[in-house]
Amino acid sequence: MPPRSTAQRRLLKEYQQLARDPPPGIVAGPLDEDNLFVWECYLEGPTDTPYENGVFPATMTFPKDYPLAPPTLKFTPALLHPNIYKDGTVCISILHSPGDDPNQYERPEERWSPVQSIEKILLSVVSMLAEPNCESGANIDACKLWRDDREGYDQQIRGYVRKAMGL
Amino acid sequence: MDNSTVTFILTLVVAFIFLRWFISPDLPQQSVKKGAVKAKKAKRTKAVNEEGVEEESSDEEFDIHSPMNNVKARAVSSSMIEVVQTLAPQLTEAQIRWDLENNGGSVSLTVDKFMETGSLPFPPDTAPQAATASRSGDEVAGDGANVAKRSGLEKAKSEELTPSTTGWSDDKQERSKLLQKKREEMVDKARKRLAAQLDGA
Repeated sequence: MPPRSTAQRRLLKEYQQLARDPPPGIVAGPLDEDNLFVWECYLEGPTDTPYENGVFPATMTFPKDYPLAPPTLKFTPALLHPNIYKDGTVCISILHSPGDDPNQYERPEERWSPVQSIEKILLSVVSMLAEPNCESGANIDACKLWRDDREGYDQQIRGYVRKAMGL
Repeated sequence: MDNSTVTFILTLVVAFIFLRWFISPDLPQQSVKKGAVKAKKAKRTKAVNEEGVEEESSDEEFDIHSPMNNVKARAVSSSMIEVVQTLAPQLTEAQIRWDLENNGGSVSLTVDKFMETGSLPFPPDTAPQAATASRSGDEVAGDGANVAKRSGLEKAKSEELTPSTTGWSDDKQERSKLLQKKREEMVDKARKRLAAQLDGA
């Protein structure tokens, strides 16, 4: 079935680009090509962080009016990180549309617009894993742990990575 | 009394015709005889020629009375370009103008095209520049953030890591298999690295 809407054609094109020229540490594509609006993304934990050597699955859900509105990204299972809500939903500026600014400090050029792309989102998320931003914390407990007990935070994540990778 | 009324009405009629003439110069063209139209056309063509080469092609179509005529004639005003540019600030005016001219001046078609592809093609008369410019345009739209982050070395590394699984298959099932394989490979490699690290520690 050929894709019909603007959103579907754009999603297929981005899928094609990601398949042809995949950025390192990222594998992303539709869960089922009959529904291009739900993607499964696998992200490698950045090196020299406690997330190193982990692979973290996340589900990206697109609105029908993509690319006007941004997608949402949710780690499944949820990941301990200051900028990830306890249900796994990622909270970073590139996933917020310019009109909707929950924290009132993001610059418009950091936020979602149709010139952004799935690849850019995923790269931003990988760098978010490496550098949490506690000024806009989504998970207050993780924020506190990261700020006050970095050793404990790192250990907890390393333990989680080992368990998740089955070692 | 009678005279002044007649004068008044005449003045109104003359004023109306004058205003109509000035406000919509296109209208009389269709109602007046062909000769007059041709004269006008010649004038328009001259004016247009001074503006740019691209518009010449549309002048040829002036003689044929197809409905596209009117669309083409009023196509691509600067306000239309502005509308597209607000949505897509990284596009050049030339790209937008070219696309609008090609689709008969439909802003919505141009915006749709931009939404789908993330960019617009460059006009052919800027061909030497277009080769490099369109590539950089693609990068802005597609993987701009990536360019800064990904050094040549990293790219080479990634290709070396996944030699068999890059690319795009025309078959849907093949694609989903490939994606599945990529996922498995990624997890497998990370797992091996982690195991090695744990052994070392």
